[in-house]
Amino acid sequence: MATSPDDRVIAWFREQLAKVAEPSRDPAGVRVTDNLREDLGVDSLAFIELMVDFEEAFGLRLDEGDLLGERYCTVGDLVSHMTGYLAQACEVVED
Amino acid sequence: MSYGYCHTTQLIAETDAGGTLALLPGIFTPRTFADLVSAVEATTTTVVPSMLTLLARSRWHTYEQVSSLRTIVFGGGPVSLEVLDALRARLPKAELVQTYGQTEAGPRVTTLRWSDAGVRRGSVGRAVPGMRITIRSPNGEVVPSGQIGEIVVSGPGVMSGYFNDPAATAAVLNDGWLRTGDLGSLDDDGFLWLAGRLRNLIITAGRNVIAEEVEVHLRGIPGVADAAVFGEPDELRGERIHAVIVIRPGADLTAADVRASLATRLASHKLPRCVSFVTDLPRTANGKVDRARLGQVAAKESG
Repeated sequence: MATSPDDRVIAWFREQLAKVAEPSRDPAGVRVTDNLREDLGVDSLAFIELMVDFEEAFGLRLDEGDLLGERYCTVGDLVSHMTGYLAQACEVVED
Repeated sequence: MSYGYCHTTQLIAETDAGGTLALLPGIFTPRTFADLVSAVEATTTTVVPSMLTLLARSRWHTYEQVSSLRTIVFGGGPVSLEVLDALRARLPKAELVQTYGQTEAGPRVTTLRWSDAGVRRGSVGRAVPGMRITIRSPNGEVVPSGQIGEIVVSGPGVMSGYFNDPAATAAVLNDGWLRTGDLGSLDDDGFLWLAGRLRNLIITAGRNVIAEEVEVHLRGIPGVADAAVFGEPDELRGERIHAVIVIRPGADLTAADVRASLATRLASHKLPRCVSFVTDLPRTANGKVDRARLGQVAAKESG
């Protein structure tokens, strides 16, 4: 079965958030409804670390505003924003 | 720029020497930093350990972008030797300069050029010109070289006192000599080696957090019977804040509740990264919280 870009983004964030969460957990234990700060304990530095890795993994250069952890409340917020970002980046490449 | 470190010294010295300052306007990431360095062809930079750690993890093209750097000054917390070795290998033309100081001291007390460190890797270097360093016992006597005691310094940059706080000033300042609250030893050649802290100060990602301030807010959370925090070693942050909490009988509290409650009362860098729940806090014979055993108790009860 083919994996959609959205699934790839969700899987990537689940895996990485599971590592930077405090305490760390199994990727399956990361829910889209989890609050990044309160449920997963992702502080500003952990968030920057995460986004630096995201840029490298997906070959993107995010706008500075997108690197602000305060912009996202839940895992779902983050995933949907980054999925949109990727879709936009792909459109530009295809154009 | 959201941190202080030794900028008063560093930036004034750079401009006095005829340099041009370029401040990173937003968030530090290896990419935003590398973009700025390459845009202005920066030759010197001043960073805290977390930034060095992020840089050491970044890709090789970042290093090509920052190849104009000749001096990288850092301090404000411990840095692993692996991080420094990785940076030296990738930026062979850049001199790494370790520093030690504190705001009350002016702030810089020592420096160490990494290329000269040799067998003294792990030391924070020798006193900068004008600064004098002594190591003292609890009763204020200077101890022999090699022996650990409180680092007490004097020099032209030492503060005249805390603003409108003569009691706090008297506690640390005596005849121009400043008690730093840090523990360390001097070797026979005057190199300073840090060995811990007397005060309950946690330095996380280059920012100072007083343990008691976080604890007051933790105890104010409904359902918390008692709480203490300590600085736990962390590769990226130097230290991370770990809260150890005793819950009132019948109360139901999660780490997420604690973080949410504290977030309304404390700046984000003061929020505990780790939260552990225990049945009781470890105490010394005279009933004080035994901070040295907090980590051990938290690890044991968290399983």
